[in-house]
Amino acid sequence: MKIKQVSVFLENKPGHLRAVTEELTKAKLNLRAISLADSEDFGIVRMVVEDPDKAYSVLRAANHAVQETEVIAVEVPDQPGGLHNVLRTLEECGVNIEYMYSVLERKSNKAVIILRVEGIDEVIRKLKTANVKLLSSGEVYNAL
Amino acid sequence: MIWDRQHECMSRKRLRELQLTRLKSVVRRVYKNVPYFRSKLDALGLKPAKIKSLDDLRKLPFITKHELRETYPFGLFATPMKDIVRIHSSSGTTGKPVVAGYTRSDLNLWAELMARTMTAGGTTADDVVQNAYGYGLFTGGLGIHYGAEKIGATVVPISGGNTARQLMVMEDFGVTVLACTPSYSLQIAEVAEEKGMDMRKMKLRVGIFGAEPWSEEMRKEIEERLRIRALDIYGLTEIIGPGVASECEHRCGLHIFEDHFLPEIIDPDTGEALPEGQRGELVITCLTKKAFPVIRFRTRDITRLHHEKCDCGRTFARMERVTGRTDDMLIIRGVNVFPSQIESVLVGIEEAEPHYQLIVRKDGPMDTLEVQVEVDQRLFSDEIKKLQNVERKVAHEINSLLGIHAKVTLVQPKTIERSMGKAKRVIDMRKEG
Repeated sequence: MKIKQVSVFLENKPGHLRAVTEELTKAKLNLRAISLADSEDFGIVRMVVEDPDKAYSVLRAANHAVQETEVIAVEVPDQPGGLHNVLRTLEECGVNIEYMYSVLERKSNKAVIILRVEGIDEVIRKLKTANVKLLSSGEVYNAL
Repeated sequence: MIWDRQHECMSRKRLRELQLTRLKSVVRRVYKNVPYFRSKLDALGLKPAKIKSLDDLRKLPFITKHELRETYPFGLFATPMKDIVRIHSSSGTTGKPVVAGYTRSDLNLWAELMARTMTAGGTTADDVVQNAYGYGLFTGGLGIHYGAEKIGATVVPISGGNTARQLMVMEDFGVTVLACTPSYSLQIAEVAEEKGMDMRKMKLRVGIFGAEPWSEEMRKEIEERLRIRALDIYGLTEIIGPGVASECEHRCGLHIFEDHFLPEIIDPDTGEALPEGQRGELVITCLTKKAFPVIRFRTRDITRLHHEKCDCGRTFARMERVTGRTDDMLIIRGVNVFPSQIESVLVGIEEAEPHYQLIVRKDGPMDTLEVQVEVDQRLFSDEIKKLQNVERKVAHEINSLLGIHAKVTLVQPKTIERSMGKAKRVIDMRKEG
């Protein structure tokens, strides 16, 4: 149920994010989710890509600082209160979210959010018990 | 190991006698053959015969890098061009280059001094020396080359650049000694790590590094990453190139080859000689060179001399590792800052890379210092706060060492220019506006 996320260091300068997507394009890797975090003078782009290991190596080869981290993907009903209800469950399970962003979704009545949490294995166990729908990496990379 | 025990271990008393004889001779010779020097002495009403003791050296005028440029290219040569068999020159990045001529006997001397240097670093005829200093006008390449050949080592004259090929040669040829700039050795280490090469399986055991200031912390890092023993050597184009001073196996300063180069330490502001043991600007007089012997050349390198005998047996004075140059020194809000100090901070912080650049700007009346540090794989974290912590840590360490506030900026890997020769560490934008 753990999904590999690829993060890349970026300077806050025009063209630097484009340089990352260019490598992915050349390697014909499809982006499933993307989010940008920024500080005053640098940023981190976090991505869920269909083949994270390949994405990691093409970006490394292009001299980027890259890290793979584990995240979870939670399915949320695409309707008012959908996220709210999931968050309440997470809260009841005592899960602290470090950051989250949503998957680039095709037409369906479900939304998917990517969550980075502390103690990922424990969180997965709790969420399963609470009947929160977690997606496998296969589902996130391909089947959406 | 000592190449020339007779000279390198001679008593201080005999050394001083030899220095005085040679000093008198070189002053006479340069006075006779170099009009520029003669007119300087004449203006002071000074005759070569007035030089009767080593202390009389202080009566002679200094020569500065600026004057070398004024006499560009051959104005200070003391022999006819027909006796000059080789020309080298500095890079001239800050103006006209300094041009050095060598007679055949100068080249022989240089090879002898480099043989001393290589031997002091532990190189023998059994070694395979990969010479990754640039070959050409730069003195580093050919200087190491002839010294290593002189002692009978196997020389691989690969010159700088093409790091992947350097590593291939190192592995395939069983290289045991690497000679290059310290910053380039780190680049070799970086590429070796990227390729997943295990340095423990290499035969490489010694690094002979010079041509740019580096810190003790950087030495530790090079030694750990390349699994070698790293030695510091010292030289300048103006004096002879490498072969002016070298560390021995005890690494307690660099022995200056005093039978050929007479060192002094002066206060860079007043030009007064400083008492023994004080830190100041190194001034060197060439005692024996024929084509281009400079007298009281101001090196602008800051160091200090120790005269106690070294455990290796050499009697030559030891200069401390050069901490910076008077012209590398930045004055930021009244504080003297050497790039090597910033480097020692970075090397001391585990997560930070020693690939850095200092950018000094003027913001109204205030000087600002920005330290750009490359983020590499080891440093990079997916969490913003961890990266910000590294920035804060570097800024904090700089502040506690130098008492100035620096803005630390993380930049992408491999975006700071790597050097084959000397690293460009400082961009001072205050001069441009």
